[in-house]
Amino acid sequence: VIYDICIVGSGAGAGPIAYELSKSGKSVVVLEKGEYLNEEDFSKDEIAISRRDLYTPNLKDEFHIIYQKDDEGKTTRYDGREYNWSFWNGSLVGGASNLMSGYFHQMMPYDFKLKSTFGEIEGANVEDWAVSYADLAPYYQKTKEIIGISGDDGNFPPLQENGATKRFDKACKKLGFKPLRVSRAILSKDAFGRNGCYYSNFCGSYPCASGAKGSSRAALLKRCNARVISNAFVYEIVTKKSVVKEVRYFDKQRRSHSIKAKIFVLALSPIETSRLLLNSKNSHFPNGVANNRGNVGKNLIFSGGGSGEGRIRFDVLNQKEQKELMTPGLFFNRSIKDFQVIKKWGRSYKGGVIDFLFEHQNIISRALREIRDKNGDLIWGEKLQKKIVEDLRRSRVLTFEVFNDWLPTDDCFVGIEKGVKDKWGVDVASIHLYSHKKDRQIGEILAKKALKILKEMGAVEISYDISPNPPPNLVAGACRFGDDPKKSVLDKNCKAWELENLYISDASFMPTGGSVPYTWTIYANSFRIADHLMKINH
Amino acid sequence: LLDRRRFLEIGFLSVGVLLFSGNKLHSVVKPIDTIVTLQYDLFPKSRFAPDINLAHFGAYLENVILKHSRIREADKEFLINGTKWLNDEAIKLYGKNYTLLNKTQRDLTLQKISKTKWGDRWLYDIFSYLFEALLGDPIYEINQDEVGWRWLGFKGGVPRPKKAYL
Repeated sequence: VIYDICIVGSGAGAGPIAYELSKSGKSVVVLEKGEYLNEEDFSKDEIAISRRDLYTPNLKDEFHIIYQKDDEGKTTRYDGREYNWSFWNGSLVGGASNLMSGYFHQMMPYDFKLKSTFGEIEGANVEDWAVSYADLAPYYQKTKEIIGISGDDGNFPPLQENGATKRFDKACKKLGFKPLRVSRAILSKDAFGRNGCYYSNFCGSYPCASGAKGSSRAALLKRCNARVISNAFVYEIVTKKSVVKEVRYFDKQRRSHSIKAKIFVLALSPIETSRLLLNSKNSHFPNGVANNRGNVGKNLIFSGGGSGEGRIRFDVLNQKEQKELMTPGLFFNRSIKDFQVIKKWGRSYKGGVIDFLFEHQNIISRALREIRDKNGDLIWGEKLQKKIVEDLRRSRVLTFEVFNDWLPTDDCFVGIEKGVKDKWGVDVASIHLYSHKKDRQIGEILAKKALKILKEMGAVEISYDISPNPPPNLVAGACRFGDDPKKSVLDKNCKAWELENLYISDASFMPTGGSVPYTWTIYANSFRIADHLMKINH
Repeated sequence: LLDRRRFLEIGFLSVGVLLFSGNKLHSVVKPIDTIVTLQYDLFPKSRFAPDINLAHFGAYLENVILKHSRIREADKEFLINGTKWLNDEAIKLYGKNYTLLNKTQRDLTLQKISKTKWGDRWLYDIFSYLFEALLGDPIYEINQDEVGWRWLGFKGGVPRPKKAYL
C-alpha cells in the first residue's frame, strides 16, 4: 500500500492534516507511539495520572540527556533517568492535546514580526515569521469552527465561572488593568457528537472523559477515516536523494514495519521530530534528513516566564463569597494582556500574557504542600493536621502563569547523545538548555503585575518563581520555517527545503513563541498546511 | 538466607534488618513495625483528623509502592534503608530501637533526622505515600470508606478508576 499521506505523531500538529486530507478523499495513515485510548478508558485517578505518570513513557525506558548552561557559561549534564527530569508530554493517540488545559490564545499581529517590530536583541536569534497574522487568521477561525472554542474569542458560550472571579475583576478595575475571560478549547455544550463539559474538577493534566476538551483525538481523529496505527514507534526516515520513500517503525514487540506514502508529515513534538531527523542518516543526508545545512534542532524554544500564587482565606470573604470560593469544578478563566509591550531600558520589548487559574484540585498534592512551616521545616502531628484542615477547607490558592518569549539562542538546541540508547536501541536526544537573561527580566516585570492583583484581592502567602528551567509542555522551534533556506529548515508551507515530500506540522516550525500557550497556533498552522497539501494534490 | 521467592512472599517490609551499635549487633527490626509506629507519630489519632489506620499505609507500601514499575529501584531501596537509619539514630540517641522509645524520644529523633539531608528527603517520601494512602482512590485498597476524602470534604474526580494502576 502506498498512502497519499503518512503522518508521524497524532497530536495538535497532526490532527488537522489527518482530518482535512482524509475528508477530501485522500488515504491517510497516522503513526502514534502510544496507545489508542478513548473517553471510556479515562478516569480521574490522581495516583496513576499525576503521581505515576501513566500517560508518559517510563523514564527508565525512554529519556533524554539534558545539558543546561547557566549565566556564567557553565554547562551541567543531567541524565533524565537519574534526575527524574521528563520532557515527555503525552504518549497516547491525540498526544499532549488530551492533557492540555485548553487555554486558547491567538498570537498578536506583531508576534509574527518580532524582529522588525522590536529590533534585535543581543545574543538572540530573533527572526520574523514567514507568514503574517493575516495569513494565519482564517485558520484560527477554522480551528474554532472544527474544534470548538468557548468564551470571548470562541464560538461557544463561556464555561461556568467560579464566583471568586468577581473579586478578581474588581481588583483589576481598581488597578486599571483589563481582566479578560480566557477562551478555552472546551465545549460548554454538546456539539459535533461530543459531550459538553461536566465540570469534573480535574481538567488540566487529565484526559477528558466527556469529549468536551478539543483534543486532536476527540475533535479530529475520531471524526475522520484516517487510519491510526497505535503503539508504532517510528525510528527511521528512508530517503532516496531528496524524496522520502518510507518510514520504519517498531511495534510493541519491537518488530519492524514499513509505511510508504507520497507525502510524509512529521508531528512528533519538536524534540522528537528533530531526533528522528538527526538519527535518520544516509549517503545523501550524512548529518540527518533535511540537515545538510545544519539547521535541524537549532533554536529550540520554550515559553519563558514562570508562575506564582496567593492564598485567598475565608477571613477576607463574606459568607456568600466563602461558599462561592469553595464551589468545586467551576473555572477561573481570567487573563491579563495589558503588558504585551514593555517599555524599559530605553526601548520597547515584547512583554507577555498572564493567565490566572485555581491551584490544581489534586488532593494528594495539596495535602503534601502543607508539610512545611513558613521556614521550610517539616512539621507533623496535630500541628500538621490542623494546618491541612485550615488551608484545604477554609481557603483556596489562586495561581498565575506568566507567558513571555523564550528568546532563541545558539545555546538552546536539540542534538543526539551518541551511544546512549533507549529501550528501542535508538540514540536518545540531547536537550541543550539556555535561558536568555532578558526572558527572566521580562518575566519578573509581568509576575510583579500579577502580584499586585493578588494583593488587591486580599490574598496572602503570595509568591512567584521566574525560572531558567523550561516548562516541558511548552516547547517549540528546532526546525524553523523561513524565507531563507540557509537559515531555516522549512519553507513557508512547512515543507523541508531539502526534500520534495517532507513536511513538519508540530510546533517545530515556530521561530518565536508568541508569549502565549501554543496550541491554537499549532492547530491553525496545521490546518494551513492541510490547505496547501490539498492544493498541490490537485 | 531467604530465597527470593520466600522473600517476596513475606514482603520487603517484613524481613528483619540488622542494627548495630558500634561493632556489636544491637537488634533486628522489621521495617513494617517501624512504619506502623511512625505513621501514628506523623499523623496521630486526634480530634482533627481520621484514624490513619484506615489508610492501610503499610499494606499500600508493601503491595503497591515497593512493587510499582514506575517507582525507581533506588527510591524503593531508600524507603527501606530510611527505616534502618531512623532506628540507627534512635539507638545512637537513646540506645533503643525507634519503636521502643517513648513519644517524646521518638519526636526528638524525628526532629533530629528531619534536619539532615537524607532525613528530610525520606520523611518527604513517607509523607507522599502516606497521603496517597489517605487521599488516593480506594481502588488501591487505601482510603477506606473514603475516610480521607470525607475529612477534607473532597468529592473525588469522576469518573473514578475501574482498576488500580500498578
